[in-house]
Amino acid sequence: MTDEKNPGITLFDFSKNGDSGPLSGPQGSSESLQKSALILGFSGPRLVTDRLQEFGMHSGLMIRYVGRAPFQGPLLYRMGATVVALREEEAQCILINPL
Amino acid sequence: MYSDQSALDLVALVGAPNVGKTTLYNWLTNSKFKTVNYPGATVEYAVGRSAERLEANCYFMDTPGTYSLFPKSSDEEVTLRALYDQHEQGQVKKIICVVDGSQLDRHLLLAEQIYLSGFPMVLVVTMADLLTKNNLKLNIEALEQKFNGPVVLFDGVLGGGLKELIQKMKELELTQPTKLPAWSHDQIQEKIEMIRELSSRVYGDADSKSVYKRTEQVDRWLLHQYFGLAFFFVIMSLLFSSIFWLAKPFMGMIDFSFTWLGNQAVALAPNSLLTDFLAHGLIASLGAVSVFAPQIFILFFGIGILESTGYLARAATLIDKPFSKLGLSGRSFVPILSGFACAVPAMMATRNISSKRDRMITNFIIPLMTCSARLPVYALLLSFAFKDAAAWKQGVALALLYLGSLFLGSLVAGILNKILAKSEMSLFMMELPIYRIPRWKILFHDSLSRTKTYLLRAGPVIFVFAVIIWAGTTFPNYSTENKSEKMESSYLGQVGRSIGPVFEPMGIDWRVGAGLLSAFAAREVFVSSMAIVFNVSGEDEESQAQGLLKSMKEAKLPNGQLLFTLASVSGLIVFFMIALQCMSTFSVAIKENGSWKFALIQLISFNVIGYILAVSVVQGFKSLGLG
Repeated sequence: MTDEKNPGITLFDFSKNGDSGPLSGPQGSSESLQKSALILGFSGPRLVTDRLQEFGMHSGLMIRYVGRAPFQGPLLYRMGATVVALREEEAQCILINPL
Repeated sequence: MYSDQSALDLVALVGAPNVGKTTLYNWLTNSKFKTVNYPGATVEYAVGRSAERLEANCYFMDTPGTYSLFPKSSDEEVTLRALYDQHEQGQVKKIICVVDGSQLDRHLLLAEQIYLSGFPMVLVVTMADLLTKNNLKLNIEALEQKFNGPVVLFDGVLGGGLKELIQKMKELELTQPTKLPAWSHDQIQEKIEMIRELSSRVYGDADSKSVYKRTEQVDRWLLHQYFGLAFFFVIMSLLFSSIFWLAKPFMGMIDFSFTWLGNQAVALAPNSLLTDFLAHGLIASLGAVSVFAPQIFILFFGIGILESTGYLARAATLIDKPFSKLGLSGRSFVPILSGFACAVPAMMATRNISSKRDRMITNFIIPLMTCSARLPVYALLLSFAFKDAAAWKQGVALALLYLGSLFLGSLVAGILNKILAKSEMSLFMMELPIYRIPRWKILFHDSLSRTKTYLLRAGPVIFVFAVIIWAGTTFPNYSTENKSEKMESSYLGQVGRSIGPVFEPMGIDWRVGAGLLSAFAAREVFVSSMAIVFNVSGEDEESQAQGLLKSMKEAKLPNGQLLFTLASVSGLIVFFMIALQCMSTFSVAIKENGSWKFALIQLISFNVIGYILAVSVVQGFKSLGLG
């Protein structure tokens, strides 16, 4: 599913300019303000992309950026009922289409 | 009784991390199983007989959490091997595949792999309590059709679904499973598409949002940019401080009982060698170490709470960035935290770190963490150093020692990170599970059995050294009235004087030196050795602990100077902070890293550096006139 010709926008690009999502304050922003995207595919080291897929990520899945851990740490995404924490390099391996 | 077809079959529980697999395992075995575990997860597979009242008549095996049958970390390799290897209980005949009912789309891929391998399988959907509470109704028939076998809903809180699970498991017919060939990228895509379609059919119109709403609210605080860190420090401080204030009354009770026991033994026959051995050898040394059991229990219990609520995954996420600067990852957090309990399970816990480099650095610094065996030693040395000071000062000093071990660990990790060549990419990728209330009974039982293991393991070693050190300090002139003369002329005294020069630069004499050597069997033996060597005049009314402190305070070097001064106590603490004096850690280091070289470098460098630093500290203090 690696799209060599059109690397597109990665999940990391998508999240890096956003605010820190609901984690920026105890009251949080409403869900409608959180950014969602559709996963298009994967690109990067096989070790990472395989693991991402086994983690339950797949093309067509909707994923929502919910915030970032302190010290510019892992990025947090919700997919379905789960939140996963990904490092920048890991989020860079996911190609998405912003919604 | 064992005649039916499933009698004593080996049934494996397989599932992703955090799906409630171990909870189910506890229900199935009634929490009676043998395992090498660490607080946090299953690192070795555990095997236990099925609980009698379930009438399952089989063995259950709990395996480390895995996302797939194509392993990517040594943790997952354990699971794969466990499924195909020959065990004491035979080969795995059937599999209970455990999936989280709120995350089927993520967990069914593993079920598909097990199904295709040809294992007879019952699919267990956990978190049934959460699903019911949130009015989520699943289309179970769709799952049964797909996997051509039984599917059971399970409620980990009340154990609902257990009977049905046993029934369905018994009905499974045995097959000849095979190893699944690796999937190509396209095959994976195809499977993922299939699972997605399947789980959307199972969920139907159900909305899982209500399941995670509360977790999201809590995370707004616990993962917050600033509050998150504050909570992290508060939670960790609470954990480590409770080791002291919460344990104190229980430690007092244990100390009291051993003191009473010792006095009773002496009263039996005041001047006999046997009662002298019982009271001042055996009871004194066992008491000196048993006193710390409450602290060890609280440590295990605390880590257990953090794990089972789901907080540890958050803590790992919070700490990932700072750790990555040191060549570690957030995944190193749980092993390092476990290292404060014991380095042995902590090193095993590094198996779920997928990068070999991260894992090696983590394993290297784990023995520097203040493990529970150091606790008795520090507590003794500090209570001596702070005898007349307010109690809180001692607590602060201990907290500083804990922080100091973290600092030392970071320093060593930072150095290794600079020296070692960077190899493959290190992965973090952490799932943050839904917050849950811990199952207190299981936690309590678990922590208790770990504490028991600690005491039972330490017991025989302490006994042997109690005999050696008591006999060594008592003979040959056991009838001499003058205690210090008896000690000086004893066998241990003779041997001690020949090795004395090694310990002299540390500001200690042969008596403490002998204690240091005995600590290589296990660090806590130092305390029991001190109890025998110094508590020679224990016939007074005081408690054992006070008696020991008093004799230590009065102890003098051959030149008439006090033995335990700020300088020598500091030197001893520095030595204990760094030195690797634990043979179990050494042998696990060999096993976990598959290398003698790694373990030897660790053993030699830690001990040599520990000695040099201890000597420097002592000499430094002395030159400042603080000797």
